[in-house]
Amino acid sequence: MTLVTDKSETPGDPAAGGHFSNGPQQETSWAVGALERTRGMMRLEMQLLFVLVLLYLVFSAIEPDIFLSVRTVENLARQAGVLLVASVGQMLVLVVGGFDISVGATAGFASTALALLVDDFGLYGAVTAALALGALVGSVNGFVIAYLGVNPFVATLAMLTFLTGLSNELSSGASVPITDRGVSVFGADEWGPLPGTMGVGLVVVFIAYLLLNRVRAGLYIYAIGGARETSRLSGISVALYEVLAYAMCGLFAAAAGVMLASRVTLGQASLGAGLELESIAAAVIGGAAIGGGVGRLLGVAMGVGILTVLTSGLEIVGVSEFARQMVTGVVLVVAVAFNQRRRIGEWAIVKLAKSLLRSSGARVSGS
Amino acid sequence: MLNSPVEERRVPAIMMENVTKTFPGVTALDCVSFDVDHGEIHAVVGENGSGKSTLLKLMVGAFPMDSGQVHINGDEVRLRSPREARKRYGIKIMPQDVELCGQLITGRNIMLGLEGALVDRNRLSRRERAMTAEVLRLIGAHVDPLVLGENLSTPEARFIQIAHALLPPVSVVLCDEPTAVLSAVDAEALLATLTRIRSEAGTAIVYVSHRIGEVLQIADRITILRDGLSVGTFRRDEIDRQQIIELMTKSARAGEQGTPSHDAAQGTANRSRLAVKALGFGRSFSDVSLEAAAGQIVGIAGAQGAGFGSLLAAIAGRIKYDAGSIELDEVSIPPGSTTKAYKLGIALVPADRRQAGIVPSLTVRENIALPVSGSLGRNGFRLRRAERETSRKFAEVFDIRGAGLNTMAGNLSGGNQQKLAIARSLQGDPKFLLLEEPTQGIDIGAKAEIRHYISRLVRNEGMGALVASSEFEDLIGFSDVIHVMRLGRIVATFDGKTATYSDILHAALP
Repeated sequence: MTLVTDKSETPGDPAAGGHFSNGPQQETSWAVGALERTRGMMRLEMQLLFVLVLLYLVFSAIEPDIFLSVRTVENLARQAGVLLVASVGQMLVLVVGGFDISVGATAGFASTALALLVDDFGLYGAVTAALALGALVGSVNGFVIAYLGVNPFVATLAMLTFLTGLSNELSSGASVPITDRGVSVFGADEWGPLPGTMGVGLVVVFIAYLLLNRVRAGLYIYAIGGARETSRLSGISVALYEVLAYAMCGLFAAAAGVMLASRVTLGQASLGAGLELESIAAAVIGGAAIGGGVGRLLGVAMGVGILTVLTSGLEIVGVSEFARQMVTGVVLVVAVAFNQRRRIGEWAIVKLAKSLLRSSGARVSGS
Repeated sequence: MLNSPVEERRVPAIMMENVTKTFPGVTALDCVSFDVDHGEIHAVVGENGSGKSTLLKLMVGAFPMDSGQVHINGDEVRLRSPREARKRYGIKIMPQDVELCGQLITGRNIMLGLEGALVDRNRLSRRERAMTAEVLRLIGAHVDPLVLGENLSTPEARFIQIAHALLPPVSVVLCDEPTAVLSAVDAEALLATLTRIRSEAGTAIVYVSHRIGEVLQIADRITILRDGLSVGTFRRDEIDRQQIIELMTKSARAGEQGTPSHDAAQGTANRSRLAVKALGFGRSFSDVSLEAAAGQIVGIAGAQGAGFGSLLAAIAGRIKYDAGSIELDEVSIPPGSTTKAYKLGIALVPADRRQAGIVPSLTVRENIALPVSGSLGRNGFRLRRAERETSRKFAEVFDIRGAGLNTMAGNLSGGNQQKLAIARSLQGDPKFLLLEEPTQGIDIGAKAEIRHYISRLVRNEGMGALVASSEFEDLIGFSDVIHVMRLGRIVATFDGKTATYSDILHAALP
C-alpha cells in the first residue's frame, strides 16, 4: 500500500537516497524513455486520426465521386483553416481554465474594422489594426475575468453582445465591401499548393506552438490551468497570464475574421457567427478540457478536421443546414461527456444502469 | 543562497517579534515571538486552532499582521505578498495539500516560477537538468524529471514539492503537516530528507505537525502554541512527549465538564445494530472493525488525517470501500451507494458542513425541507404546511437561536449551522447518525449544546450515533466507548466514561 522502498535502506542514511523507484531510471536509454512517453502522449491523437480517417471513408463510400477528388480536399482544407485559427485561440483560454464565447463576434468585428479602415490605412495597415483590435478585445475579456472576477461565461457573453452591437453601429447594420482586391491573399488565394486559409492556419499553429512549448508564458498557461494555487505560490502572476491567454484568443479570432473577410471581400458583424461553439467543440474533441490544464495543438487540429469533415460532409451528401447545426450540438455534448469521463472515471449513468441491471437480475432470480 | 560567513553572534534566518493577528471575533495569534536559525529545524506544535497556520501564513506575507515585526537575517522587513517572500527572501511554504500540475513534466513542476523567458515545455535544458538533478539528489528521490506530474504517486509528489521549495533562492522552508498524507514508511523517508537538507544545505526549516513522535525525532527546537499564545520554546532535550502534551492542552479542558452520560442499558430487546467488519479503503484506512447499537454513542478519536472521515464516508456510501463489509441489522450496505445507505437508515453529517451539510444560500426552513422525498413531500411536490410545522418543531427542539426560520442558513453561526445540519440529517428517520467533527470550529457553549442534542436523540429516540472527532475532550464522558484511530487503523479502545485525555492522545499520536 505504501509505495516504495527497499526496506534495507536506512532512511537516515544520506548516501542511501532513492526512496522510490518507478518510471525509467537514469540508467535506461534516454531515447527509449522518450519514445515511450511520446507514445503515451499521442494516444489520443492517434485515436482522433483514426476517427477522422474513418469518417472520411464513410463519406467516400456514400459519394465516391465527390469525396475522392482533390478539389474536395482543397475545399475542406479551406474551410478548416478558419476554424483551426479560431480553435487554437479557444484552446489557449480552455487550457488556462476559462473559455471564450465572443470568438465569433470578435471575428465579425475584425472583418468590419478591416473593411472600414482599408481605404484610409491601406490593406496591411487595416489588417494590423483589425488584429490589434482583436487582441484588445481579448485583453478586455481577460481583464474582466482575471482582475474583476467576472465568470468567463458572463464576461464573454457580454462581450459578444457588445461587439455585435458595435460592429452593426459602425457599419450601419449593413455589410461593408472591401475595396482592396489584395485582401484575397489572406484566405481566398492559394499559397502555393495550400489554400490560403490553411496557410494562415499553419502560421497561427506555429506561433501557438512557440508560445506553448518554447516560452515561459505558455508553460505558465498550462500551470495555471492545472494547479492555480500552486502556481500562485510559485510566484507566478496568475491574473497576468490569464489576460495573455485571452488576448491571444482575441488576436486569433480577429485573424479568423480577416480570413473570412478575405474570402467574401466584405466585412460584416455576423460573419463569424457560430464560430464560438464550433471552436469550443473542435478544441474539446481534440482533448482540451473545460476546466483547464489539458490540451495539445495536434489534438485540436484533429478536432478541427473531424468537425469540418463531419459538417461539410453532411452538407455535401445533402443534409440541411439546420440538421447540421443539430449535429454540431450533439457532437459538442458527446465530446465533453467523453472528456469528463476521462476525468471522473465513470459516468453516473453507467453506475445507474449497472445498479438497475443488478436489481432486476436479483428480482428475476428471486422470483 | 545561504548563510554568508556571519559574525559569531547568532542571526536567525527569520525572526517574528511580538506578532499579533486578529480575525473578526478571534485572536489567532497574541504577541507571539518565534525565530529559526540557518541549519535548524524548529517545530511548531499545538492543537487545532492554536494559531500554527496563521503563524506560517504571516511568515510568507499571505496577510498583514496587526502588530509586531519581522526580521530576516537581522534586518527588519515587511512582507507584502507570498511572491515577495519567495523571490526576494527565499521563504518558501510547502502547503498541506499536495497539488502538482498534472500536464507538466516533473522537471517543470520543480522549476515552476524560475524559468527563463524561453523554455521548452516538454524538455529540460542542460542547465535545468543539472539543477533538478542536483536538488533531486539532495533530497534523495529518484524520479524521472520527464514523467508527467499526473503520473506521480502522492509521496512522490510530496518530494517534488520539497524539491520545488529547495531551488534557490532558499533560506527558509515552511512545512505545513508534510506527513499528513503519507504512510509511515514514506513519512520516515521525508523526515530523513528534511534532516539531511538541514545539515547539508544549511536551510532553516519550520515544521508544523500534529505528530509529536516526528517532532521529537527531527526538531532542534520546539515551540508550543495554545489558543494563539506561545506557551514556550524548548530545546529538544529539555522536553518529552508527556510535557508537550500537557503544555498543548492545559487550559483546553478547563472550559466545561461533560454532559452527564446517558444510560446505555435500556430496551435491549430489538435494538438495531451496525456491524463494520475489517473495512478498508485504499490508503485511507484498513482493517477497521467496530460495532454500534441503537441507544449507544460510539466515539472515534484521532488526529486529523487519521482516516475517520473516510471511514464515516464509506459507511454512508459516499466512497466505495474496497475491503470488508458493513451490515445494518444483518442487511449488508454495499460500497459506494449513498442512496442505499440512506434508505437503510444511515445519515451522515460531514465535517465540511458548508459544503455538504447545509445549503448556505437557502433559508433555514428550506434547508430542513430539502429532502422532499421524505415525510414533507408527496410525489415530488412540496407540502408547505408540513414544511412549516416540521421546521418550526426542529427549530424549537434544536433551539436555533437568534434567527427566524427565514434566515439564510449561511448567516447562522457555526454552532447553529451544525445544529441545522443535524436537523436536516434527521429527516429520513435514520437509525444511525454518523457525525464527523461535529464540534469543530464552534464555541464552547454551542459544543455543549450539540453534545446535549446528540445524547438526547440517542436516549429518547433510540438512535445510534457514531461520533468522530479530533477534539478528544468532546468525546470523553459523552461516548459509551471510544475507539482511537491512527494512520487508518483502530489502535486502541477505551471505555468512554473512564478514558482520560492523555490516554487518547498518547494512542492517537504516532
